[in-house]
Amino acid sequence: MKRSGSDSRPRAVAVALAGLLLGLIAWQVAGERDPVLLATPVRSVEALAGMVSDGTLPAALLDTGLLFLVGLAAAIVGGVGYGLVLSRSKALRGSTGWMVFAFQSVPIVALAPLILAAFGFGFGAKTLVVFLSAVFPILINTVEGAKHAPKTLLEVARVHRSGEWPLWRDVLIPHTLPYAMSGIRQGIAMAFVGTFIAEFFLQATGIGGLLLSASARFDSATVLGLTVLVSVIAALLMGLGRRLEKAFAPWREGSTE
Amino acid sequence: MTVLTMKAPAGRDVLGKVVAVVVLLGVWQVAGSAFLPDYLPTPVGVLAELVPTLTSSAFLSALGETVVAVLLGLVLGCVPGTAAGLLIGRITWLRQLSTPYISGLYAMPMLAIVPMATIWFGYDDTTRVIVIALSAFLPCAVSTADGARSLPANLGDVARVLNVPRSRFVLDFVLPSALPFAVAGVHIAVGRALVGAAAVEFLANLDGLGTFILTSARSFAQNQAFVGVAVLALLGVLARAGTERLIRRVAPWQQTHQD
Repeated sequence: MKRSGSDSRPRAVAVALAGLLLGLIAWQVAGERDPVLLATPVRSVEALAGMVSDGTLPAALLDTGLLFLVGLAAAIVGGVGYGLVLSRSKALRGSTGWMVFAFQSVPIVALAPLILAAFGFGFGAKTLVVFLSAVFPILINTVEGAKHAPKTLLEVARVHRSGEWPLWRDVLIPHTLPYAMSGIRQGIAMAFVGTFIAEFFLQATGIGGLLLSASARFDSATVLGLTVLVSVIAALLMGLGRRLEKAFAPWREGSTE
Repeated sequence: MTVLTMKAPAGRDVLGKVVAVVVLLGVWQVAGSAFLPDYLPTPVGVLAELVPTLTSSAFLSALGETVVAVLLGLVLGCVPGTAAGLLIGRITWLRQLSTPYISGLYAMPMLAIVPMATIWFGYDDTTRVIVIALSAFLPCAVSTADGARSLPANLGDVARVLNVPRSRFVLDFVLPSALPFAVAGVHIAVGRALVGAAAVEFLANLDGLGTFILTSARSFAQNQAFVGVAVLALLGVLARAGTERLIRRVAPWQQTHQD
């Protein structure tokens, strides 16, 4: 459907850049008026550059990135895997399917103090937080996708006495993947949130740790710089997720059901 | 998915659910009391703590604090958010100008904004309401803008041909097509607002459900903390069920956004 408000691409980029520039200028002017509360962009960039040159920022990025990736990988394996298992087993689906929706509504932030008390603040506990944050959208979308695997193909496979593994490889996984991908896109965003939950409430490491310590000493230049950095990373991750999802979407639409 | 098998009788399904619940609770109870006694809430413990916690004055006042802050923040976030979404959706240059800010902030975990907010607004209730309002503002603005843009182009052409005045155009064309999206925005906002409230309460140590959970967990009252978590989850479920019904009322064809 054609939308009524469509943009021309180059102009949109130009205006967006102008908007960013305007914002930067406003930030600089405001920061010069009130240097305590609002550091100027120049000072924020200096603060970030200082942390790059003394190695704290790269180390923190590595910390955060590792936690994010390990947690996300665990969530993808667990979510897609259990989702496919649910799609093959009617008994499991009937008995545990509804629980997934119940668990999904538990806010992981609120669980953080309990996880801290029970499992401590090691890498495993932090990974658990990221995993729990990201696994449910992936699981739910995978189950949804497996529902869309064409019944005729499953029946044909069954008639031809297909083994369980070829059935998964040739029918179930290819038809579920596009749906799982949109779950993974949501999972990427949730894993990023989970990473900050872990770094804020379990152990102050990585970017979250830097943010907390800078905030505690009212270092607004560092906090502002890091906050902007986080939002840029988040936007990039979201873009990456959308790319991933799109890369699998045409294939789904191309297949005949 | 196997069509060839016969449909299982309904009774087996219920039995399966009961078995699953019993197994889950059993494993939880045994594992909790065997490996991590006093560190993990257990089903029996939670059940024993349920009524005393729900009726304790500490819990009730914490619940009240959080609910009031969330409601206030939702109003302060959703009303301007929806209005901004309508403007952004219909005015092209405004949308292009604000895109980097809106998408940057929308993608960002609202948690990460709390350290900045505590510097600006202090460790008090203002910070909590502002973070909740911001958490609510963004999904409302993004979703409503989507809705305002989704008006089919030929309807716009019809309006132009019929010389519909601008105010009528907004009232009769834009608003109806944006309304279900606006409600879907609120739907997402509610969940984010509750999470934002708990996060600020943890970090700024404000009275509320989040702090209730935190102090309970720290003083080894894990079961009590779990009751708090469950109530927070229930609040989210109830609020989302409410907005979902509202979406079905105003736009039966609309699917609710998952986020």
